[in-house]
Amino acid sequence: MREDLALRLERFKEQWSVDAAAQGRVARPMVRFIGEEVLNTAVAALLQGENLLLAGGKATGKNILADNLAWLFARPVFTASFHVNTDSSMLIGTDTFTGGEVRLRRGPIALAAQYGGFCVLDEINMAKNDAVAVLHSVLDYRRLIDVPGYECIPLHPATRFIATMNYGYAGTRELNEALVSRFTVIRMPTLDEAQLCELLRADVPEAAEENIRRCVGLFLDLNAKAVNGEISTNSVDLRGMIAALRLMTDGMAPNEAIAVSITNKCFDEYEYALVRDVVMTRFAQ
Amino acid sequence: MSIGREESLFLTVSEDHRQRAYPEYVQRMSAPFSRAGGMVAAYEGVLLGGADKRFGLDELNLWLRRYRYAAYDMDVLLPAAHLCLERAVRTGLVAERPGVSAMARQAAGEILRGDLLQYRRSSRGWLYIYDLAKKFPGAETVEDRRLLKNLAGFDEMLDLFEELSGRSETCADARALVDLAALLYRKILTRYFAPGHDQDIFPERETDEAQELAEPGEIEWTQTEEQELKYESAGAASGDGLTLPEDTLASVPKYLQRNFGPSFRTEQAMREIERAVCTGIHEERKLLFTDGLGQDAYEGTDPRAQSLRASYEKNLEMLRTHEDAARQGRRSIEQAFRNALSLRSEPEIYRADHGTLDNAALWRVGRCAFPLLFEKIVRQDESSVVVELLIDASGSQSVRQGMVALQSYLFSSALSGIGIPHRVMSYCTYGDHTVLRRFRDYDDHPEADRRILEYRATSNNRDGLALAAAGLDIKKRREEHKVVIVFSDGLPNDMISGRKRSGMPERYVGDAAIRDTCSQVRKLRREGVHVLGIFLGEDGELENERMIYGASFLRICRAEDFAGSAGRKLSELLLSL
Repeated sequence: MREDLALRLERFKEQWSVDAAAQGRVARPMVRFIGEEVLNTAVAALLQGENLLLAGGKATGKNILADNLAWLFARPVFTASFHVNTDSSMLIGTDTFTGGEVRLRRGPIALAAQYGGFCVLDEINMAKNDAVAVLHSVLDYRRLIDVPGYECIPLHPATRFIATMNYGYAGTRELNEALVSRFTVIRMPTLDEAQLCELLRADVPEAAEENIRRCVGLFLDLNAKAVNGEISTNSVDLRGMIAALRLMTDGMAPNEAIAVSITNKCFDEYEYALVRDVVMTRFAQ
Repeated sequence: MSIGREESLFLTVSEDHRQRAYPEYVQRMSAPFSRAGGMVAAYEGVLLGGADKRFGLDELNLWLRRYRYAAYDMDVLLPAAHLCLERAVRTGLVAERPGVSAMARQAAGEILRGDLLQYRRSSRGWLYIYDLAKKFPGAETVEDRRLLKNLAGFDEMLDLFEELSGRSETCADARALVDLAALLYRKILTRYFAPGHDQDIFPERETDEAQELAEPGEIEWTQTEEQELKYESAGAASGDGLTLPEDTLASVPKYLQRNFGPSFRTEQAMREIERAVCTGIHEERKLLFTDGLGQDAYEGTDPRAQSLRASYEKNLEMLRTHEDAARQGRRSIEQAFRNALSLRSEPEIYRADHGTLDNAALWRVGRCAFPLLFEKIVRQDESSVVVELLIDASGSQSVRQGMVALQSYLFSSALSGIGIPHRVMSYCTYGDHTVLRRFRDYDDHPEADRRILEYRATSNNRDGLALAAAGLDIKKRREEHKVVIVFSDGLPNDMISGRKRSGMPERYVGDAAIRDTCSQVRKLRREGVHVLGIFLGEDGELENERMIYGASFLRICRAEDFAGSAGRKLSELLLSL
């Protein structure tokens, strides 16, 4: 990371300590984010008080970057996973009955606002636009949540929002301009061969170098096919590759490990045949 | 993009995903292997991909053409070049793609077991058997071993052959590789084997097996396909019965105008549509969108009117015969849709410890351990749906024309009954033209459903092109969920009209047609359109249907099954949207 950013980051951490109640949500991520340029951009934007929208295809490390950023800033993480039926009560909170009275049961956004957390809005473009309109006042200069029947919840100065989205993915929608304008957008680049090898090595340290190279080669083959519209993105699955590598280190034959982790995820016969052929060139049957 | 296994592997291994045709001599060299199918064709894709990456196919073509100018017999040189190329590419690729060796072994096994390239028929072919047996010990059959005994006493030639072919591994560029193939040609193939030796006919015993195999690429004529020839001027089809002469093709637009009606689109709109969808295997094809003929075409005593009336009466008779079942079927499909739609729009409400306070439950406070005073309301997606119904109107459907018309009518009227906007079109191909006959448009009144009974089954079908063309309109619709339903027999086939053009893809039959339809279905799905196939064909075509539509297909064996199965399947689909 750039030196000046590292310095400002330290100052940020000193300035904003974490409440003991949210301490358990500050966790070291399992995987280190690879890609210094993107990391510098993201850190600089967050230090300036911006919220981030990470847009990119599968396996570009959107969630890994979000977790890494929260860890670098030493902030607790609150996650809201968006889906078609997401509504404001799921994001901000809803009524509950405790201590003999009706109180607000806070959702991830209200909790992030309270504890100065980093709120990850995962797959933000899966929800309907009217459901996310509630975020407008949270994300702009007002920085407050207005819950009907309760006091306004102002955002803690350290609170930031990091949204992720995979544009053009099945079931996604266009984000409206009003929402997009409240984010700083980072287009996540696709990892190159060396970065993928590094990532797999870090994830499965005991894996044989030859298997790592083959898995990366296969991943790039399938990704190129998906990018060119020859197959869907079902089999472009980095999590599957990591699972396959783990199975290989456990003694499973490489072609079987790939079959259960990658090839068999194509339920469509036509696509299955194309993926199986590509696998066959990398892993002998 | 329409790709099969061979092309998919070619694109992946060459690491260049632009769809492109093989250059002339490379195509000629590779054609017998591609035609052999199975692993032989798949491995050919790997081989050409590797060749493109290492040598460049255009470069290879250039040097092969040079020997053609030098009057080399290309039927002898090209197999030799393939042999050298296989060895060079395999050894070069194996470090990066270790699975290639196993694929090569499997392909060699298939070639030898089925004598797919007819190596056993000529003594020059024995040399290729010898090469495969050396490279992949154990792949040869007993018959191959018997034939190889004939090479005894030619040790000097075999040593030279091995020495020369072994040099392929170190060829630095395309020129060196083709020069090496030419060396094999001069030193061995034309020196030890008499000219024209490939034509030798061997005794009966040796050729029995080979003769049993159909000529690769030969297309078998079936009765159904012959039926598809029944339209004007088809009798003028050329000797092989497949390619229509130019004058016949020129008469097709007039024929279509007279028998199907005028286009409902402007010329400019048609040009735009054709530019968008008539690509790849459909290049230079034309489309006709028509609303059919007017009522006056059904009147009179001319043969056309008689034929139209007979067809309409046949469909109407089918509806009358199954009137009760049809009414019941329509009701049951309609009810299934209605249930699915109301389930979709109904919010799910359950008791919870948070959510919206339910005043009526407040009495539980202090009386129950878990009072659950709140209601959690999960609102369902209330988005709208539009349906496109495409009916295969090819000759192969003529045996079940009435049933197809009846089922399409039932389906359409059920959709009308619950107010789902939908369009119904049939498709068939005449000459260079694919006709999309519109029976009703998306927002037409329910009365328009009755026009489906004008459905006629004739000629060929380019399912991929029809899907692509129909897909353009449904994609423009404002409804959130778009569904395309295709009634077909899983047999895309345009063999008669397949005019050959230089550099154009293969005819629209068999694997090529299925592959194209598969890829159009996937393309639409990637663009957010749900595509569902309703299969009305024979058992033999069930696999094609499965390949084309994946899990999203439904088989209808009897007219009575339709309402229940289709209603259920469509309800499932509507619920999953």
